Amino acid sequence: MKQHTLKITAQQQPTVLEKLLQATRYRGFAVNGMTMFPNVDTALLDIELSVSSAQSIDKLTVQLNKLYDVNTIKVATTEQLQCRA
Amino acid sequence: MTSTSTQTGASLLFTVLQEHGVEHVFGYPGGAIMPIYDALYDSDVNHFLCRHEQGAAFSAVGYARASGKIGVCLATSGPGATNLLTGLADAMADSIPVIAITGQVPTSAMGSDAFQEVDIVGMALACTKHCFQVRDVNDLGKILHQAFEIALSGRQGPVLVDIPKDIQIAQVTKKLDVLTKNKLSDAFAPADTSAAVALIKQAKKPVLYVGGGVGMANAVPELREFMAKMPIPSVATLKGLGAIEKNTPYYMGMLGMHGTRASNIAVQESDLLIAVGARFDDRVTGKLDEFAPHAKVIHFDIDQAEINKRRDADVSIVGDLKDNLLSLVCDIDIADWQQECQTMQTECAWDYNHPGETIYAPAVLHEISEKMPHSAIVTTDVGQHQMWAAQHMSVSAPENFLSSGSLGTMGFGLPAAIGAQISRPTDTVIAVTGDGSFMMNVQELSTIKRFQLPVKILLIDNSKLGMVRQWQDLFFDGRLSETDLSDNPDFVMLAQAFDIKAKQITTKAEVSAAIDDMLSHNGPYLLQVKIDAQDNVWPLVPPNTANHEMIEDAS
Repeated sequence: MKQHTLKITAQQQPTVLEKLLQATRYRGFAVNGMTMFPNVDTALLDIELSVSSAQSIDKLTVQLNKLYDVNTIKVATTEQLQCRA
Repeated sequence: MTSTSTQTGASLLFTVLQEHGVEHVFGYPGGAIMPIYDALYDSDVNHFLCRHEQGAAFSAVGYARASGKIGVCLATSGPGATNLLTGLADAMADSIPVIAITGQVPTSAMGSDAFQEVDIVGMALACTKHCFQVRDVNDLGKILHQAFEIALSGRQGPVLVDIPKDIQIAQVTKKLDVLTKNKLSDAFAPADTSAAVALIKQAKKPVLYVGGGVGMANAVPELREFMAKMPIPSVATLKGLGAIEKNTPYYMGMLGMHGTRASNIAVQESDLLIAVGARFDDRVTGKLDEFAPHAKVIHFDIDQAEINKRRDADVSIVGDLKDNLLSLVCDIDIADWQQECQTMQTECAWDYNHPGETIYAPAVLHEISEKMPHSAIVTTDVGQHQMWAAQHMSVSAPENFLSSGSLGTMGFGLPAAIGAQISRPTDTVIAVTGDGSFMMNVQELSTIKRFQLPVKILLIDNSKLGMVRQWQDLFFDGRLSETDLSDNPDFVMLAQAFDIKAKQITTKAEVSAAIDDMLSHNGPYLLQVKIDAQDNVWPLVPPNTANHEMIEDAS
C-alpha cells in the first residue's frame, strides 16, 4: 500500500471537486487528505490530493487527467504506508 | 458563431442545436422544461415524443450509433431527469455521443427541496463525460458548444446540460465570445508504430482483436484495407461486430464468454494480440491471468486510460486508428497459422440442424440474417437472444449492430431501434428482443405507432429470464429464483393494441414464411417466436475460467 500526493490544477467550476473525489473513489483509491486554494494569479484551483491504494497510481492519474476541468496533474510524492500489527 | 441577441435561453438552445446540425431530438415534457418545449413549438428541430424518459435516452443512443451523429434527449427536472440516467450510463459505458438537456427548478428555488427538484448534476457526474448546470443565461451558448465539443472529442460520450427554468425564460444580453478550446484536441500527432511493426514481423501466431473503437473512429475502411493487405486471423468483440465482413479470410467471429470456439482457442494460442479499439473487457478475457497467456500485446486505442488497465501492453499506441492503422502493414509469413485457424473455423462451424419441432432461435436468427438487406440495422436487448444474435447474425458495419455492450441494459433494444429507424428511415431496422427485456420499455410501442415507424420486432419468447435461468441451472444448482415469466401478456394482442401487425409462431415449419412476412411488411411488425424454455446459449465460458475451457451443450 502506497500513499501518493497529487498536485492538480483545475478550472474553478462547481463540480470539479465532486468529480475528482468520485473518480478517485470509483477507481479504488482512498482519500487521505485534500487541500484546495483558488489561485488568484492563474484563476485556477490548486489542489493537493493525498490518496492511497495497492494499485499503481498511474491507474488513477490517467483517469483524472481525462476530466474536462482538470488542467494538469502530477505525482508530487510517494511513500510506503507502514502496516501496524 | 451564435447570434444571441433578443433570444431567450430556450430559443437559444434550439439555435445552437441547429448550428450543430441537430435535426431530431427525443424527449418528454414537464413543468421545469416547459419554456424549452414552448420554444420547440417554433423550432425546425423535429421532436419525437417518447413514452418514458429512459426510452428517449435510448432512442438518442440508437440514433447516434446508427447515424454517426450526436443524439439529443430532453427531460424535465426531478423524475424526468433521473429517468434519463440509465440511458446516459449506457452511453458512457459504450462511448456514445449524446447530449441530455434537463430542465431544472428556478435558481431561486434550487436547494430548497422544491417540487420535482433533484440534484441531477450530482447524480449524473458518475455516468457522463461531463455535466454543466447553467447559472447565467449569457453562459448558455458557450456551455452548449462546449457540450458538443466534449461529447464528440476523443473517446466520445454523453454530456448533460441542466438548465433552470428562469434561465430558459431569461433574455440573452451578451453576444457569445469566440470559443477557446480547453484541453480538448481532435488531432493526435502521428503515432510511431515502428515497435509494433517489429513485433508483427516476429510473430508466428498473431491475432487481430477488433473492438468497438474501430467503428467509433470511422476506421472500418482502413481496417478492411489493412486486413486485405495483412490477412491476420481475426476476432471481434460484441461492439466490434460488423467491422469485419463475415466472409473475410481467417475471421473467426466473436470472442469471449459466448464467443466461437475457434476465436477463443486462436486467441489462447496466439503469440501476438493486436488489440485495436478494444479494452480487454472481462466478458472478453474470462480469467484474466490466463487470457492469451503466450501472447505479446500491441494495444492501439484513443484513450490513454485503457492502456495497461487490465492487460499490460508490450507496445501501446495512443492515437486515431483511422490515421495510423495502415502504418502497421508489413511483410509477414504466417501461412501455417492461417491454415490452423482456417481448420479450427471449419471444425467449429455452427450447426443449425436441430432435432424436434420446437423452434431453434439460432436458426431463426441466421435465416433472418441471410434474408435481411445488406444495410439492415439489428438492435438487441440483453440476455440469451442478444448472444444468439451476436453469434448467428452478420451485419455489414458496426453501425448496423446496436447492442448494449458494456452496461448490458435490458430495455435498450426497442427504443434504440426507434432512434435508428428515425436516423435512417429507408433502412430495415430489426429489434431482436426477449420477453424479459421487451417488457422493460414496452411503452415505446406507442412511439412506434405515433410515428408509424416500420421497426420489425423479433421477440424470442421462452417465458423466462433466460440468461439468468441458464446461470441458475448451471451455477446455482438449478434453484430457479424469480426467473419465471409464464404470466407474460399476450404479446400479439399487445402489439395489435398499438396498431402493430403481429404474429406468433411455435413450430419450425412456420419460421420461413413468418420471416418473409415480417421482412416484406411495409409497417411495424412483431414476430413472437416461442422457443423451448430450457434452450441455452453455447458455448459458454464459466465465470473465472480461462476461455479455452469453454463448455458446450452436452446433449
